Amino acid sequence: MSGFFTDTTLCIGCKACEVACKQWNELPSDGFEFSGNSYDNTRALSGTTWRHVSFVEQMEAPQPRWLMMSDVCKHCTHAGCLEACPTGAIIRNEFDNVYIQPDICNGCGYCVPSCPFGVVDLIESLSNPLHQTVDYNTDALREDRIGKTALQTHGGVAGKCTLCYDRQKLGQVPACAKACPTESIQFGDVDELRERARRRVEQLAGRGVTATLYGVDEDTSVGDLNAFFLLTDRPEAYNLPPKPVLPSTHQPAGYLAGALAAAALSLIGFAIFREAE
Amino acid sequence: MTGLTRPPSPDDAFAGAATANGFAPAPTYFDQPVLKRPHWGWNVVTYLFLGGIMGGSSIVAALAHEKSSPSERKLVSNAKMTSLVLAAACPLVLISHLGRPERFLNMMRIVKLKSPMSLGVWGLVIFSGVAGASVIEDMIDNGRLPRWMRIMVPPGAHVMQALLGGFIGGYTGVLISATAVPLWAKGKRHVPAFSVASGIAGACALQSLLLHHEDDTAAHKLEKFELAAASIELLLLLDFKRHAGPYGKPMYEGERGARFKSLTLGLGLAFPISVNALRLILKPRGSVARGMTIVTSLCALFGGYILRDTLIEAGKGSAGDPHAAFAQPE
Repeated sequence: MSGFFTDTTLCIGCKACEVACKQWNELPSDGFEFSGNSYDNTRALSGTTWRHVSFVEQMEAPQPRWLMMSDVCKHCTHAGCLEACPTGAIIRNEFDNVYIQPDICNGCGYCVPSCPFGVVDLIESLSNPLHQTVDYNTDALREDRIGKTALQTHGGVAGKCTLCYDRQKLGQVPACAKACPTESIQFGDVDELRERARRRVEQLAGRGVTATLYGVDEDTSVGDLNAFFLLTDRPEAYNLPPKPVLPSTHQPAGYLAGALAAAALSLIGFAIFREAE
Repeated sequence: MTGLTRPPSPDDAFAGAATANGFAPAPTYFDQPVLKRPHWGWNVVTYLFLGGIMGGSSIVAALAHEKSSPSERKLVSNAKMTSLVLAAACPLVLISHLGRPERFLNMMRIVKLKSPMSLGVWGLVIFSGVAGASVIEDMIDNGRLPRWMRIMVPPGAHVMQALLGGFIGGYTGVLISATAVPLWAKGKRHVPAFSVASGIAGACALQSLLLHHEDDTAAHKLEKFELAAASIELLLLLDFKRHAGPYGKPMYEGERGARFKSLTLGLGLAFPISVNALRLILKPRGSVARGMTIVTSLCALFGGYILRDTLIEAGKGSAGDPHAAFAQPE
């Protein structure tokens, strides 16, 4: 079971992870647009942006600080996108990572609102003029790198971090973790990473820094996260939901309410249509 | 710095509200949305609308099945035919959303109990078959097809069709509410329930439009059934506003909310309900009654479409509100 431990106290906001991810996975550029959001012109994760460094400016705090965090797909224990996917395109692979098979995805878009972290998104058509200037090898997204991929057709498919499935198969470290110069992004066995993370929290406490782990020993319905984070502020500051909810937990109540409404109306209808005029 | 300021939008339901975990009003990250907005547009809205009417029509057909009056037999034929036509149209609408026909086939790789979309696709496929058998049965009964073709009709086809129809009317509601979108998730009970009621009300309205027969028996029963379904739908929608509280703002407030209130709650529900209730007392006949049916049915159908459109668009607004996403409903 492999995953990421992202220690935000070590992040220096260099965005090497963003670049390495784009480069290795041959993902198209997001264009040149200034957001005005500190140094964050990426804004958010998307179908073609699988690492995103956020810059949290806290200038009115007693001690002004600048928090940086490299966000990524959480590869949840109970993944909303995986449960929602009607085609079976989203699978849990042999490394226990949540992986989208692009040749099976049909672009229905149900995974997009089913992610409580807002990670997965549909990839817009690559015929976007912005992308035509560069000859992208979209075959890279396909495991065997042979033939036409779903990405090359119009309409798009869903995209998100694969946890560098292809690199892991070759025994390599994911591109972002490899590129990270400060080991803010650590890749490895999740159990080992959790132990390391707990020791790091204690170490920081000894230095007077309050840090918490996000995605470890959680009692939320998504369970523990295979890509978890060490934070020094509450999750909202980093645009993370404090209590993510697994969407499928809403289903029993929904089916019951729908069945009750149908049964009640059928009974009323039965009474109405039975009477003779 | 707690994020850039921008003009308040009715979608920002939680702006300024204290968070549940006791912190002061939560800062957002430059007001960036936490969740991704659903990509569903007019095709999904149309499918929700047509699927609801398709399911409702099959329930109407089963209720009027084996009734003796000529108008009721006409109603059964109409309702079965409507179900079949819509069962053929729905996959086309869904394909228009996916982009290419073969993409629909990917839906049929697996059956996934956890995914309402997977269950719904299979429900739709089986429904199409049963709807075809039902129409064949009806044509045999009317002498338009030879009797030996009855071997193609399973026993109790109309009951099976009504059960599947009820499922199709409701599963879309479960599909929508089994997401992280705060407005939809908050409506985990209301959305499936009012989807079913709206589908039945829409089916009654459409069948009333299609039915013109000298014998008014079926028309009167349809009016009563529509009155019941529309009243339940209206009550559920009003109760959802109360239940959803701040989560409901993208649906019930602002420009979208005003449109929803006037076109769905008013024109599509309250108006047909009032007219149908009056008709129970006044019992108009002839062209006056027919004229009223045409006007109220068109209003009800239009209101039903606006309901689905509002639900989807408000979901996009709700997903864009980081405060609502921080307080994801259980």
